[in-house]
Amino acid sequence: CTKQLTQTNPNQQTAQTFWKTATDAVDGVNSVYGSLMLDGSYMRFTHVVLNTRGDDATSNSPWDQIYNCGKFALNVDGFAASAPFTAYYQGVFRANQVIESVPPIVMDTALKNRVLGQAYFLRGLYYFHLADIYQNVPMPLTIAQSSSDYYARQVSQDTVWMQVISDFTKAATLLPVSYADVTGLDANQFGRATKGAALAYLGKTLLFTKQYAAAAAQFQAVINLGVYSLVPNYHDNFTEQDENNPESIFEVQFSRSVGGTTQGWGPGDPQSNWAKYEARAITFGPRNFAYCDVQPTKALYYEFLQEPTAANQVDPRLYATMFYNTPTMKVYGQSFQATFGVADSEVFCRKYENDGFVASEFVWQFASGINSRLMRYADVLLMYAECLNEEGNTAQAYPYIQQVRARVGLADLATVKPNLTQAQMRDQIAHERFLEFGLEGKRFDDIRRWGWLQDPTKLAWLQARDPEFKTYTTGREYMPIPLAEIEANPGVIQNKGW
Amino acid sequence: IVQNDKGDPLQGVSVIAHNTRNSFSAGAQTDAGGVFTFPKLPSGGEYSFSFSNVGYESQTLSGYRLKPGTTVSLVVKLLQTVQSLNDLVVVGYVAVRKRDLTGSVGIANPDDVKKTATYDIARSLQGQVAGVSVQGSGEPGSFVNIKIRGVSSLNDNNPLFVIDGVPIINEAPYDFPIDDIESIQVLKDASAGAIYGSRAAAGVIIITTKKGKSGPMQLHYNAYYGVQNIPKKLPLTDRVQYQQITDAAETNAGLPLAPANDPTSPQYISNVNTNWQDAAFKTGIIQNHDLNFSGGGLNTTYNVSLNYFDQTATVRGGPGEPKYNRYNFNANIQSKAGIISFGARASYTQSHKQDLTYPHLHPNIGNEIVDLDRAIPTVPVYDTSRLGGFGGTNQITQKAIVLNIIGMNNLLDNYSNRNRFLGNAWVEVEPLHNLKYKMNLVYDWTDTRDFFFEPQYDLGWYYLNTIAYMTDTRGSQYTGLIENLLTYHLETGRHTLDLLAGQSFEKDDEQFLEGIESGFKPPYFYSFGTGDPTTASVQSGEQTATLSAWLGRLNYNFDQRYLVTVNFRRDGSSKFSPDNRWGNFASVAGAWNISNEKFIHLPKFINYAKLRGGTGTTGNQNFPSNYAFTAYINSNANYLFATVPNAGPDQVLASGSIQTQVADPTIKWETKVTSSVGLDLGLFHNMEFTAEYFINTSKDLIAQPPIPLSVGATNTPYVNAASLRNSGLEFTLTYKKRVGAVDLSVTGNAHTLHNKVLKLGGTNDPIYGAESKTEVGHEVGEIYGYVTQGIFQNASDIAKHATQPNAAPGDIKFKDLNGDGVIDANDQQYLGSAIPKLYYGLNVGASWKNVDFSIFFQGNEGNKIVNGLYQTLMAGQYTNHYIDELNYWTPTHTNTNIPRPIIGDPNGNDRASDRWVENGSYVRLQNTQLGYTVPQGMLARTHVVKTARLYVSGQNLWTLTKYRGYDPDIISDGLFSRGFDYGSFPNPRTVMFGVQVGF
Repeated sequence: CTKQLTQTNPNQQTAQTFWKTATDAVDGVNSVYGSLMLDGSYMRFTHVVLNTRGDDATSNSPWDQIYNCGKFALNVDGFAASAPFTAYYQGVFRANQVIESVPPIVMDTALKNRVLGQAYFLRGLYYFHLADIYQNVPMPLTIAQSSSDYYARQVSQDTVWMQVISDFTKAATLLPVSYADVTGLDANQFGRATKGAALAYLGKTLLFTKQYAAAAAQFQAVINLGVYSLVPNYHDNFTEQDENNPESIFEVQFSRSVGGTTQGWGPGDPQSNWAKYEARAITFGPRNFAYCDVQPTKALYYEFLQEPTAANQVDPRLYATMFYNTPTMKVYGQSFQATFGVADSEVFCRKYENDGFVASEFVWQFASGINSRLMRYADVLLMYAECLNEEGNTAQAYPYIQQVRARVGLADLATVKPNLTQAQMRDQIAHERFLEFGLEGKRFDDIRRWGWLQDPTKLAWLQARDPEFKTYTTGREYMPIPLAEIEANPGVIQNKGW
Repeated sequence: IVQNDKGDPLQGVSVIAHNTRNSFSAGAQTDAGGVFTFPKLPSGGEYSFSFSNVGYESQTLSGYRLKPGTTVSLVVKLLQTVQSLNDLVVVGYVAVRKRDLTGSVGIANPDDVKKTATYDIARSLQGQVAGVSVQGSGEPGSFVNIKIRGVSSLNDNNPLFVIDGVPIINEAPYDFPIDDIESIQVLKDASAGAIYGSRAAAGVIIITTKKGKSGPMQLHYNAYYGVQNIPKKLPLTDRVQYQQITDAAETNAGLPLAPANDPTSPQYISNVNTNWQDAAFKTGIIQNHDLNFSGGGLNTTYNVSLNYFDQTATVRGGPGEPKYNRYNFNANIQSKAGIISFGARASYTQSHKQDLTYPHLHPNIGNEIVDLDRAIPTVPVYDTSRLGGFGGTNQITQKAIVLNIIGMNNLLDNYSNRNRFLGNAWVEVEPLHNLKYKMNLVYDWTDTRDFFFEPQYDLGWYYLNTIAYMTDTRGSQYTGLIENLLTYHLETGRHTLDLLAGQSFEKDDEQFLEGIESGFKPPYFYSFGTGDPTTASVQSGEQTATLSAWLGRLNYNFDQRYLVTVNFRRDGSSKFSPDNRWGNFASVAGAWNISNEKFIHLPKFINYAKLRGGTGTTGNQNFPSNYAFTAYINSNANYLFATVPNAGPDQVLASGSIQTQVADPTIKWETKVTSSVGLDLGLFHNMEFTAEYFINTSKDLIAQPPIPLSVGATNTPYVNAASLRNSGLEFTLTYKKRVGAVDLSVTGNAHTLHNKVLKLGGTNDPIYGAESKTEVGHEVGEIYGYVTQGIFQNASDIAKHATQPNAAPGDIKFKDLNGDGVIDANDQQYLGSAIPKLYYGLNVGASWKNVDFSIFFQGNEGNKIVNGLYQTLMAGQYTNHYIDELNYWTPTHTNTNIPRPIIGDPNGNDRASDRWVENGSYVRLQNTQLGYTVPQGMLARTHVVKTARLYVSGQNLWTLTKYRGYDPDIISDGLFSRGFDYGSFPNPRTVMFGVQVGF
């Protein structure tokens, strides 16, 4: 009978017998990507958190976790605070395992470097989100082996930024420019992190920490790789039809056809039948065709109307970004005015929606397959221009901005607004970024890092554009550390303002 | 003829005739007339005749010599025994007389227990035994929470049920009909339960089922049929009131009015006014039928019963409404031949439970009762324009997300079926006098099916389902158990010694296979392959656990004055790593029969007195993970990559494997140290009284305390996390008296319970539940939240108060408890105990001639309940409101304690606070019964019916409580959020009629 007391789990491999082969290493790093597609990350709530707080988006959701997010009025024990936090740390846990367990594996060195490069990149990416959204956070860099290892210390945001810079720097040296050129288990797999992705994120991190010269060098390096270009049709960046295109430096892969059919909401343990869907489309989509939890602001709408194209047309990005009231506007094939009334002046999200492919998002429910483009070449160009301007080279910024404007037919900025001062150029870049990246979750990061929330004039201006800023209070430019973390992890204190 | 002391015939008395000369024996039983016959007893003798019956003093008449061809008549009067000291009590493998008990054993009166109409044995014990607390809901077939002496584990606090010596491992014993019960004993401490070692930590409930008696076959039919209703409705707002409040909430938030609530809008709704409680609540049926055959010869007896139980819903919902039914077959046989005795038992149960609806797409949103009450009056129950035919809200005009629960119940199919076979066989050999060897084999097999089908439907905003979905999960689990026991009994002079040594081995295995498919199109066929085959997937899993034990016990009795019991058990469990696998558990208890002590002269009214006490340890490995000490690789952590850049949706799956969960390799046995002292008294020859004090300390409790999210694990690992202490006093009083022609009996019990957390996890960090906090020095799941201080009347009121983000006039003012000038999470405090200070039950029975009457009160005193349902109905949002919300604050209506309604609730008026904490005390008339036994004279003419009793009974007829919810008897998670009532399904009021017929 004593022998019978040893029972082995017939369902799963133990951690001790894993991490022996190259396949284990690749399977391991693949799973690190998996945390990008959870409800808390890019399946849904990272979109909510990054978008609703900006002046490009607002919420009239009946769900308080979305409704209150952009109003800076979340509860510290709510889902909006905990879901992204949880998803990112699941990614960190996985990345740490790869970084710790892959080096001893006997395998092809080039492949090993790529695996480790991806793990560093992804850990950097997860910590980027944690520092950017949650400010001061715990920073585990090793695997928890037993219960005494569960309590990572909270560190300052600066410390996290340093770690992010270190991880992206390592990733940039280890990663290939393209997986078309490599041999091995990962050959010709697009969507994996590349050297360009690591450099672009390294530049972005340096920009966020105001190290402009160093940031500029990274953006210059991305441009010099020569593999990226803007796609001619702006809208192609937000549909399922043109994924992993030359403008895309890093994107999260979603699919309607690959994987299981049960929504993999997480943050529980992944199941074999988990689908690879994203739920942004049904969450953000227009009333009657989706839940309409997030909507563009009228401020975004009006700003698009400020500058017509050189051919005196409405900026085509407006049409790609939102549904708005105009006689010819179709919403999922139906007339806007017939659906919402002639007088209705509401605007609705179109970016990342499946308009044109399905009669309403309700038909597919939460099963949208549009990849989330996290880093576009347009962003690199505008961030590079910003660095140049901040370094005092305002004139040199023009051509990079104009590349982005030219794609949508806007007149040459050097002609329209020549000789801008550094300060004027800052505002111009802000305007360009606002329109180019509306509803892409970049605006609030910009507002915060530019110090507008601390500038009474700018804050009043924001409040006029988006009344949700009226309930902003100091400190709430960061999300609250989830109560669950504070309660379970001694020494973790809440961010100021919550 | 056997009679009672009044001269009335006694039925069912067992009579054994024994020829002392040649050891010939024969058995018989008395019929309804009290008559017993031995048609052809061999002549000779001397014969002795022994008469025994439960509740009566046994009697033996001896010295009869029978001559051939003659008839002997005997008329015997049996005296009723009030005191049960000679009753046999089963405590771990053997039975002892109650007077020889050393440990804490509660005995339920099976007749009282059976008066409760329920599917669950645990439910029927509510209020019947001191130290036993039961929480249940009114959902047919739902789980019942039973605890002995409070929370002693952070996992499973349900006691071990042992039915006829067979430990029932898998789930609550709701697979077993109550009619089969012959006796119930509750083992409350280690000295009584330690022999069950690893299982006994939460206490043991020992059930003995009916056995046949020697004599001709007896046939009994028992049945009841009753109607059930939800006895209370909550006062909720009607259409006009709903629209008024919701309009105010939108206006306060600066939002335009929802057109359906805006009288100036063409879409204003004025012609729908659904009262959802009226629409949903209905009369349910509860019925039970039990057919029992029993009998046997002198050496072999048998008992066979067939049972059918059926309970239908008290809420409307067509085919999907909750209901439960069960068929049961149960047979046992025991026989003796020389030195060998053996027996076998087989029972088979088939049950069907239609579950409450929880749509798979919308987890954790609410439940049947919450959804029902939140439904708004402007939605019709039926709406033929929507797919499925049921009403729902409109996203644009009504803005409210509410579920039409009547529609959902009709549309969804969600059930579980269980088939369970439980068999055991035993053989006992007595090679030497008083030395017995027994082997017991048990096989318990359960086969389950959980089915869920969600068709396409349109129940309005948010509850639109375009993709029909089905899951069908088949599972089976078995427990195999072998026990080898050696017992020896020695009596010499004034010494009595009982020894028990044994060994047991048990194996539990469970497996499941789950199929999932979606994309079904009407007309629906509930089989895989009829949907979209590309969506089909299957999952399966299996887990096994083994447990090996050595056990021993010594009972020593000196001169009926001093009794000692020593138990030892060594358990090995596969659930722990080899280093931590074995646990040793022991106990010692003693008793002193004061009344048998010659030098002590007790007052005359004390005819029996016993002082007893004991201490010991039990172990627990009962947590729902068999492989918790090892970390595993999850091979489903997949991702996908594109094979071609700049193209459409052409990704391929990339397999992903990684450790997603953390495990603690050092996990080991939980131990519980129990100590108790008790005093048993027999008074005035008609009263029994027991008082007992206990103190239990549970150490190294296996739990899953929350770990930081920053660990990044998808689980909370099992660790030895906590220590708890429970202590309390228990009293039981039994009194029987004849007053004139009336036989009166009163049984009362009461107990107190104090719970304290001694240690919590590695860091002693508190654990938070729903409006509760579990912290060292406090109770498990003590109620916790903010303290309100009225309402902010104006801006200066807010300015004068501590900073409370987003507060505006009309919002709730929360108290700055720590005085730091800011209202935040640190301004919360304990708001009351979810554990009653006193639990009690009172049974009063009376009989007069052919009429009997009983009444049973049960209650709790001194606990608080967080009324989570009220909280959600007072949120002042788009969903429906409790009528109190009408009294909301406005600048012109300031004399109120109800805050302004505002969409989004920026001030958090609805947060956990003392607003929701209510007194949970109640007294309930749990059961009353009036019975009539048909006189023998009338029955004699039928020649078929021997006995007949008819009764009417009422259950949950009356409750005295201040609690505002449906029912203060709530089911919660029973642990960290134990005082939180979030729409617990109310217990129905039952009126029923029953018959008990003997043939």
